[in-house]
Amino acid sequence: MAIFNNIILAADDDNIIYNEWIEWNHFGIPNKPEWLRIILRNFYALFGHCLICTALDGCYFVTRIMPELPQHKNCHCKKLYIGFEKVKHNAKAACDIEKFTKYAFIDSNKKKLFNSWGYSSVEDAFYLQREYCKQAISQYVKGNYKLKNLDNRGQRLAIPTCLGSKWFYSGWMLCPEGKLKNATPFGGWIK
Amino acid sequence: MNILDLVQVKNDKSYRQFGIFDGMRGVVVDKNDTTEIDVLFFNPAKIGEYVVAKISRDDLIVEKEELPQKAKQEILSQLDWIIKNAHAEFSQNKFKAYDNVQLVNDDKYKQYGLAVGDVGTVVDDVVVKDCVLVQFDNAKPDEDGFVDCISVNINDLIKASKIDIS
Repeated sequence: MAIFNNIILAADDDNIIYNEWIEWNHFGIPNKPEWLRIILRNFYALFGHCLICTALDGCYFVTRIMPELPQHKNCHCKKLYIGFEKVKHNAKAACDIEKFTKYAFIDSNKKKLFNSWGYSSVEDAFYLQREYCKQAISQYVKGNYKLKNLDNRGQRLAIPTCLGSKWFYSGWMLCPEGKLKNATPFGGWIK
Repeated sequence: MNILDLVQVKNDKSYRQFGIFDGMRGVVVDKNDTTEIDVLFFNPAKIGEYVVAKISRDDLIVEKEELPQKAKQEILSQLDWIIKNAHAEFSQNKFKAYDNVQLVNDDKYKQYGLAVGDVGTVVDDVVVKDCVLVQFDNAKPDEDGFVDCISVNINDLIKASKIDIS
């Protein structure tokens, strides 16, 4: 029955999409605790290991939307197949309140947009923080994300987000074990 | 306490000049004598930068976690080089999250549709390989209409005033 665990209703048009999940694995870096992971990434950076690969270590992807493997010549990274239950259980999203109070409500272009939607206060920022995190997890575990820039910091994802009836992409940094960290509250309209 | 033990600092009063704070984790890299121990700490705001500081044994707790064996071997084989290249103290980052920054060199960023004078916002505090993550609203959208934040070398940026973006 395990094979059915990965079948997820992924699209609004009721299409069934088979999501096969993997965890990116670079040897020698535990996912937890985070401080140990950071120490080891730093050591491996000193020794010339690929920072992209050590950033990807522990990240969950659906196999149809994952970075290229191998990433480079002599890349030792592997993909470990994992069940959807693990992804659903571990996935969490974090969005700093300052993404709104110090950025979206301040930056001239984004301010116009968010104000036009009726968001400008600290209370609104707390509402948006909760809403963004809820929607990001919901979309990510369905495999509804797009791969964007991948660099020494890690893999960014564009995740469909809806406020009112407006659909757009928000930008997220993918971290180990399905953790999402908001990078930008508005990355562009969904075409 | 043994070499390559993982330790936590439990007193920051004596170590603030190195940028070492209470609760910070490091790696024992030498045992000088019975009272002070050389501990390596990585800069939390700059990947790859580290200091080696003498910490009183009384101010350290040994963590239960250990470095993986393979990592230990690799570190031990290059320990002299690592210690020799340590910084005296953590450097301060030029920019912090939510700073407005202006591009002063666009050589590496023309591919994103950016030019000298463009203003963006720093996305987080951490510097990786001398780069910060910046969101430029006027960058060229990709095929999905998405404008992603990009890594920009700190030497290609200056701080911009808020007036510059309006």
